[in-house]
Amino acid sequence: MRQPFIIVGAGTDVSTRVILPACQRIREMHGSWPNHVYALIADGDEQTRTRYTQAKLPADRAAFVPLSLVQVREALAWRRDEFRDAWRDDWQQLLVQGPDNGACMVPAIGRMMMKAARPAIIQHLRAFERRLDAQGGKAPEIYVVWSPVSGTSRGSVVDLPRYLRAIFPESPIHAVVVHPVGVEELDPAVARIFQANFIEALRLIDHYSNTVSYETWVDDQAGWQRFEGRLVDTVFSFDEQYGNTRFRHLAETQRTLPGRLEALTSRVADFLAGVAGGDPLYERMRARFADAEMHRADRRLAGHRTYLFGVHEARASLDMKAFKQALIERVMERIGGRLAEAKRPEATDAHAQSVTLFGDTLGRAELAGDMTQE
Amino acid sequence: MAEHTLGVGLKFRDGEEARRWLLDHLERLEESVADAADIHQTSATLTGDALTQLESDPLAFRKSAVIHFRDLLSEVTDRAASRAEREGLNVKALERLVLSTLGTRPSHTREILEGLAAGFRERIDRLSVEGNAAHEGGQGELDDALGGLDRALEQAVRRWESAPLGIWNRYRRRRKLKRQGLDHVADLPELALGLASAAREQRPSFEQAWGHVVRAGIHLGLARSYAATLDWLVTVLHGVDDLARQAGELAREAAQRRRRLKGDWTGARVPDRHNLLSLELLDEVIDQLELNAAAFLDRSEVKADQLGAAGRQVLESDLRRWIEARLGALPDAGLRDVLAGFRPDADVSGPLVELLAAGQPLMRFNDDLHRLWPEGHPAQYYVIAGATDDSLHDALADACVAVGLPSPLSEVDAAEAEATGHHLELRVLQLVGGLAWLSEAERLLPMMVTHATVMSEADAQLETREGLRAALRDTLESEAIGDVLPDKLRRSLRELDVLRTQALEAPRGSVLPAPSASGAGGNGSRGPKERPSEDSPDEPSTHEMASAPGRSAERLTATAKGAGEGPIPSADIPN
Repeated sequence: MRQPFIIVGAGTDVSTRVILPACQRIREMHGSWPNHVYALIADGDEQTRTRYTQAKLPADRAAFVPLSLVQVREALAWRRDEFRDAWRDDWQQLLVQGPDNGACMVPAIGRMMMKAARPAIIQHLRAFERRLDAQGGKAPEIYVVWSPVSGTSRGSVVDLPRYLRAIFPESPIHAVVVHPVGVEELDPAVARIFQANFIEALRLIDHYSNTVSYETWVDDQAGWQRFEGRLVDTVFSFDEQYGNTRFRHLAETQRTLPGRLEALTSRVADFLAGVAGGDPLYERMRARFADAEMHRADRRLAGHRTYLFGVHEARASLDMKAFKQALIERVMERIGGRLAEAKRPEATDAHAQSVTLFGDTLGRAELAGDMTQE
Repeated sequence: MAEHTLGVGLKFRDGEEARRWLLDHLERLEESVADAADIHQTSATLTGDALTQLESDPLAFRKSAVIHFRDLLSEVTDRAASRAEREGLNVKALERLVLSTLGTRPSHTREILEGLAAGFRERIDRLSVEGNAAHEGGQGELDDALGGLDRALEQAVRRWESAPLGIWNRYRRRRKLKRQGLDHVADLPELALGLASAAREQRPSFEQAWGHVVRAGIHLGLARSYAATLDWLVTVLHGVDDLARQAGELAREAAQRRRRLKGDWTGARVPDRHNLLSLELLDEVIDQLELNAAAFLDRSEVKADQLGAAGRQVLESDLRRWIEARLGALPDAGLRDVLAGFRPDADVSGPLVELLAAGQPLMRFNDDLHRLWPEGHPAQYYVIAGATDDSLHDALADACVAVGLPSPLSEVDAAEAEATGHHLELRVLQLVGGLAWLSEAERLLPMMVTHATVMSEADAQLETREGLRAALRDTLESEAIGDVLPDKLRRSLRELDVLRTQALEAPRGSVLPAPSASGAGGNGSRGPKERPSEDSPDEPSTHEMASAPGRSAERLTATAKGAGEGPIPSADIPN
């Protein structure tokens, strides 16, 4: 059996711009949904649910977990102990009166929604596990996508990898981290929160990329359990500002990807689709990645693991059919344009202005006037 | 204005020069035609025949004089016209020259054609006037001569009727004529001799009339020849007009179709999704295949006087058929051909280096920073390429060397090439590993400053600190997590930031002060204060202070000091 993959992510941008497009491309690559790919999407936004429904993905392979404050209220009522590391009593008003529209900039709320959806998430992950066991395959490679600038995605940084690790203890968990895009154009207050959220997420990811001891609530009967291990094995970084500043010999060392968030998330979707979909180029990339991961990712630099990877696919393509057609049109355009230069200049059209009839010179207007009079 | 070469040896700056050139040659042609031996012989023969009849049979001549006059005019006109056509402007040659130059400089060619037409018009006008005048003069002379002949004949008849008849008189007349050597008329009757004598007296008048007719015939013959050429020129000019109009429409429609082709391929290009279909590539190929208007018009089946006559649709179909036939010579293209613009000797390293530069890993990093630590290992780069053909294998390796990347792992995706058919594609994937977040230090530091500012802001207000920290720090333990950037790196970046700020604010052309005069290498009074030192690593830079919205430097400094004393670790505070 082929190497299985699980693509996981929470939040509207992550779901609608990355995971759903990646899933659709994977299906297009194979003609139907492949057996070795699984996806899990969690979000509280109705738009994401609609997009998920429209995508018509197989629900048993690409699952959607809705998030909401209603779930949080119910979970708090039934399993308050599970929230002991995430709940503050002074948030009661926020929980009661806060809008349940899926938009939350506060990571704490995002995290509580993730915790409230824990049973559904675990259920889907266990279903994936059972299918993989039945297929007798290897431990899946897990790609967790984070765009940790606001609520839901940022709130999933702590708990989502714990749930994944609890179900798939042997799987490598690769984080796909999308950097903030266009913060300089945002409202300054929002931009500050986004940047603070992002850095906070990086600190958490960096922390959990080491072998640490952590507590998590996976099962209601078992309650809090302490584990020791690594929640994030490697990170793939995606940023619209890119380039190796060491390459000073290039004319432009620092580049900005045109197209902003849409372009950047499209590249992330390409990456995920290429990896999980079995694109030959990404197959070769995975082999090199495994090599680098084995030899480099566990080294340390100033106390930090060197587990960060950057990737980018550039393409140059030409459709020969379109090229020949364009060539024909271009030749016609050029020849036509050149021959059109032979048009008689109106200003010097002396012969068009007057005609000679039996020695009498008549102007056009005069002749037309005579004819009109007749 | 540059000279325009219309064939070998013909260079015209403009239509006026072409007109003058033509007039000069036409004058010489007219002199040549006027002196032509065949025209002289024809006119002499016809004149002689007519005048012989005048003397031998004046009455018959009187009846057919106008016919002789017209025959002479017609014959001389025909001879002059045919000679002018033979020795005049070579229309066939002009046609090929026009067709060959119309495609390169159409407006100039048109101007020259108009100049030639103007020259012909001018000469035709002049020759027509002169020819008509000569003809009218000849006609008048003929009328006068015929009037004189009528009168002389009448007198001869009258004299014959009034003279007494007698044998002796007739004998003496015959003897007199024989003595004069006119034996052949000596036996004619008296009346015939009288009429012949009367007609002979009018011969000079008829000769003068015949001379006018010959001149008129030459002028009119030349004018007729010129008119035929002018007619051809006008037809060509009208054809050029039609062709220009049809070609303009054709060009506009072709441009629209080309723009619609493959959507927005002519629009803004994404550097890492490079569509090789570009106007530059098309133009390069077109130039190499010489698919131009001159070549299109220079085909043997094109007639100058039929340009534009067939209509726009026929022009379009002809043009399309011709292009497709020429494109058949285009070789089966590979990626290298396309990148090189189908030039066999072109270097493709440049475009590949651009592609590699645009396709750097999607993170702003510096893989040199790890060398600041003894245990640092270089980042590991991989370049993986997949192409529909292997024509770029060596060039890609050269480009990687030029950029500073390792040799690429390059493979031909044969299955993809087969599946895509007419699609050429090069995909280059760059992977870099063995980095840490500190490799992105320059990118992350401003955000880390903002992060520290946001986290410390609540401290200054002493109201929502706990709530804010809890909301943004979703786990209590995260407060104790270390920073992702080492202090050593932060200090270096701060210093770099200060130096950059100073360089930006320094007046252009200012001379650096001596170290003894201004302190520790500062620029003005701000230097020593802004430059961080090892003793005060936590002093904020001006850039960081400026980047903290709504806060003064003092407040930020106070916040930093307060934060250093409080529960928030100093690593979270902007230094």
